[in-house]
Amino acid sequence: MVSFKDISFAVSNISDISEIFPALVWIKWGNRNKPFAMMGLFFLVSGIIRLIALGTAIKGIHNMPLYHLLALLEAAAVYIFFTQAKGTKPKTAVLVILLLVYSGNILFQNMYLDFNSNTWTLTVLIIIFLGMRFFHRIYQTEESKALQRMPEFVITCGWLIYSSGSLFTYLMGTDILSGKPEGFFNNAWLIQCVSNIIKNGIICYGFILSSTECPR
Amino acid sequence: MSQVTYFILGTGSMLVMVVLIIWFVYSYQRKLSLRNAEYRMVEALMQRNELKSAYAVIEGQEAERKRIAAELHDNIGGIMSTLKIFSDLVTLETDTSEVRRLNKKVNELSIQLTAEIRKLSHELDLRTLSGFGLRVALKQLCESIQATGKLQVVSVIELQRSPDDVLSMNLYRIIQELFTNTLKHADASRVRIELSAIDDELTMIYEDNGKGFDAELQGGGMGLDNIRKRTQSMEGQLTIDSNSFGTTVIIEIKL
Repeated sequence: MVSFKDISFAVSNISDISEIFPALVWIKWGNRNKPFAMMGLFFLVSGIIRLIALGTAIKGIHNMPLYHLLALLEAAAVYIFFTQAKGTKPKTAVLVILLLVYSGNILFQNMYLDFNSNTWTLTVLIIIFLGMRFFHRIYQTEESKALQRMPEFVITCGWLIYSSGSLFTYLMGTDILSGKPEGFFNNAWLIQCVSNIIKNGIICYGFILSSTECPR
Repeated sequence: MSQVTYFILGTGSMLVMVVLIIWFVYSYQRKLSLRNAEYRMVEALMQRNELKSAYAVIEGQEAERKRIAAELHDNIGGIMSTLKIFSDLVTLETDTSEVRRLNKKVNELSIQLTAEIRKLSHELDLRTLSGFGLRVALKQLCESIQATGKLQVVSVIELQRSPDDVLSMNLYRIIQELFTNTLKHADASRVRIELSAIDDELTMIYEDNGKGFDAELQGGGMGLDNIRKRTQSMEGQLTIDSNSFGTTVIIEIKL
């Protein structure tokens, strides 16, 4: 009989593999201009990292440093995406601060080989903040474009669903991942995985939309 | 945190976000439909205003027609009546010296009549130009040429705003001169006139399908000379291309 743990592992693997799909869609159909180029490149890197992480996990090799890197890349990529979508240049200072905060947190808390709840929580909070701010900007703008024709809006929806679904998983991440993956709590990664799969699906659609709705 | 609390918060926050996105979509679409309704209202209002100004133009034209009728009746009509009296007297008179005197008077009156007609015509041009702008004046000119039945006139006039009075008058006179040349010498059946002002450049293109002329040989002719002088005074550029299939005159002016 299939156990809850088996389901959780299967969904987690699908979630990791699904990260490469937005990159493939972007390569095939996506818009190469700002802000989609940054998002496409991020998914390419993120997809590869997650596949490596999946491979290392299967072989029982510690892969947490990859996730530390991924948290930083995710926060930076989302920041650059929303800044470019707004029509402004991303500030180097912000990226440097992100790098310092993320690496500082890992160094000072000695979390090289643990899941870093702090940085991942910070990442999803940044995504929620930037996503909400982007919604506000869309609402305030004088442009009368329908939302279904705005790939930036679709991509933002994907990120928001992912970040809200991941928030509590990341908050409790260290506890969830400690101990054996038995019982509901220690398999609760499922919620994050589902939200990640939804995000990747929505962003794939956003990339397809960007090919028809935005100038190439 | 208990497992149930975690589960509720974990899935709850995702659901809250979905609801939030749905609410945002609803608010945004509502805002769009309200804005569209406002646009429609403004468009309807503009349409009504355009109709009003069209009525104002028609009323203005009607008043102008009445003024012309009064001018013809009171001034030119009066001279014509006097002219008729003198010409009647000439036919009845037998005395040669008296006939000569009356003929002189008839001659003077016909000169006065010509001057009065020219004055009225000039005044009418100016009034139409200053009152209704270059677009209306040109439309009227094209209509009157078309009405003669000698030329088929197609006019495309795209002016966002009427040029200043001096420029309008110069352009109007140039186009008048071009029409006169086509009617007198070109043996044409069709004329196309295009006047457009894009950004700060005004372009006038006049084309006929007449027999053309040699612009080099007729360079000193009065009509063309006037066109050149007027174009120069507007600091414009004049291009004339004429062959046996027709003539094209292009004038480009920086506004």
